[in-house]
Amino acid sequence: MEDLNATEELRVEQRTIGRALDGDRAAFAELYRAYAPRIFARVLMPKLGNREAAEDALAETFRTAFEKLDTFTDRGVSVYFWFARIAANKALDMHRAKGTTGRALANFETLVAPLSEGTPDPSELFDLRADFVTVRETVAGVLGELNARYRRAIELRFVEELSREECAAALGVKIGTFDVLLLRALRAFRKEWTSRVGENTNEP
Amino acid sequence: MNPDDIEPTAEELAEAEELARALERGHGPAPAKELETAALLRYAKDRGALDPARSQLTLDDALSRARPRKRTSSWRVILIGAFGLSAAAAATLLALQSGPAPEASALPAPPRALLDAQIRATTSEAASLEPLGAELKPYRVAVYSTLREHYGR
Repeated sequence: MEDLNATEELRVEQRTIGRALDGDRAAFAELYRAYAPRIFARVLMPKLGNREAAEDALAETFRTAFEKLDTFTDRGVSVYFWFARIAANKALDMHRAKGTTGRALANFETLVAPLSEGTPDPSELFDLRADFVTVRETVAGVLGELNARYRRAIELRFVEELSREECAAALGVKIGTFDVLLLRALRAFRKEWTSRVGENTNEP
Repeated sequence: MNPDDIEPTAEELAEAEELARALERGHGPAPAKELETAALLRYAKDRGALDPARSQLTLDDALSRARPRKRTSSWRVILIGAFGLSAAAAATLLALQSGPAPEASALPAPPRALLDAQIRATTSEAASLEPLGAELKPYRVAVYSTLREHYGR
């Protein structure tokens, strides 16, 4: 992971924040482009597991951050971690409002947490604690252990991103049968994942 | 034998349908663990990449809320400074306009005879107070007259 707190990076970032606070809109845009993709991928998606919800939370995060940028206190760490904390709070708010909004949200950090090593830096507490390559390789390894039909159901739906109808047709079954097959496939995947990497039962 | 050959229970059917709907629409109830597992699998596919078009919309929206540094504190300093200066100027003007305090009136000096009468009255038990009263009366008239002239009443 790149070092966001390196001295030179911090100096450049402080200048950008200063320009933004002086009313330079291009500086706000620079901060967004530098950190929004990472906030989305490493904070919001793992906490919400729902692309549409994560996009809304990202918008909320930067609305708040840009409205309150003048309250950001430089403590010698990147403003990224301030953005990440705001994003984590937005995700938490969405989980709390789930009963009203009816959104299907899923926090998969507990599944991924055992893949990370060492103790996190306190400033990195809101980030997903595993690098993407490790996640992808572990997923591939677990898929390789599954029954071929389960593996195929998962690949069709989540790798090839086909619709339910297309998946059912590809497997030569009715849609309802495919739904059951996918449910069983996901259960088998989780069982294999947990036996392979464990599961962090504590809330991240 | 395929794993989907096993007849599903009614509960399993309901869960499968709920999960399928939640994965399709992003809304509605769904079995939590399976939903988490599906989210992990989707993440492993797309790396949680942000859609560029949606990202630009989000940026435009956030920029419309962007707020430069608050200037209120410096304005407050300027206002307080201006108020202090005006108060000081007003106090100076007031002091200048009111001018110096009037000089104390010069009362007539008591005559020597009065002072002698006072000494006699205070040192001799047998002395009468009449000579002192006689000396005091014209002096009192002179003092009152001077005060009346000076203060006009």
